[in-house]
Amino acid sequence: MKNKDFFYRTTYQSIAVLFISAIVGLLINAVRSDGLPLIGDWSTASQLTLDTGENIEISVQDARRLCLEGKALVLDARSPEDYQTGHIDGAVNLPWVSFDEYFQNISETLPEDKTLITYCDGETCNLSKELATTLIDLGFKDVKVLVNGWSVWVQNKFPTKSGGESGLGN
Amino acid sequence: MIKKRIITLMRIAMGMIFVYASIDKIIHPAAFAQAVFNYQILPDHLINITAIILPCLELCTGICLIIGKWIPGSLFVINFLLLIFLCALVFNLARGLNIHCGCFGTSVQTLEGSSMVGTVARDCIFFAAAVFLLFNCCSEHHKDLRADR
Repeated sequence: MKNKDFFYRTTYQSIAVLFISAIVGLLINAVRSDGLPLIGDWSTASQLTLDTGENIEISVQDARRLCLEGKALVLDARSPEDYQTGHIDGAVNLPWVSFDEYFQNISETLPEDKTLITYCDGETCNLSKELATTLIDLGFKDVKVLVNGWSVWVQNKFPTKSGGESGLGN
Repeated sequence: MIKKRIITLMRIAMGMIFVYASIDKIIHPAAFAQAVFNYQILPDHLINITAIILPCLELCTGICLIIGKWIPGSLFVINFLLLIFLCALVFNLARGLNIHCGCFGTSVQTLEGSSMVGTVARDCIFFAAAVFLLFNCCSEHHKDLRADR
């Protein structure tokens, strides 16, 4: 104790704990059936591929076409404030952060015979994907994600609206 | 004497918090990897390896604190981890990203802004306690050195 420097002791203990944790973590991961690959594929395409192999991404042109044909309902996963500032024309606000509360209000109005298209804003925005997978888990069969939806919709100069009550659509 | 007991209790409590925080992450690695991804801080190729090692690091340091082995090293790692968690939370709060922090479990929904603030406040308390424990550990060491002379 006397001859050992506190910081030296702290350093080697820290390195030892880190080393042991890494070994234990990698061993557990190697033997378990649901272990992760050491380097995962976190690309958008991979993120939007279900366990069944189905890819739920939809292009902005396809989304627009389905809307025009009346075969889709667009769901805005962003906050009510963002929705009121501007949203895809005809979209219903279903904010992912308050999903339970909003879903109760609109669940009966969600059509089962139409494609549900979720969107948020930003390439890495995860809200639309989370919303889509939750809807699929709840039994909705035809759900798609419009990646970076708000930005690509605006870039294509497709119709938008502002204002409107969240959860009711406008 | 009482101060020593309180510090021992604090150390064991901190260890138990870290062990508790690690369990769900170890049970659900994929969900924890998703939580790490949601922070949007790490490059993609580091997400899985972080999700594999980080929960074990929490578990090991937690156990060390509970059983009283490698206390300075474990406290140093815990301080470092809490600082990283705190920075990541504040960073995402500042850029308006509502995410589930993944602190104690992986199965809860995303947090709203107000809950994020609560999480940051809670992490600040943990961090303050961890810093106190590390400084106390350091001063105890110097006391022992003086007593030995």
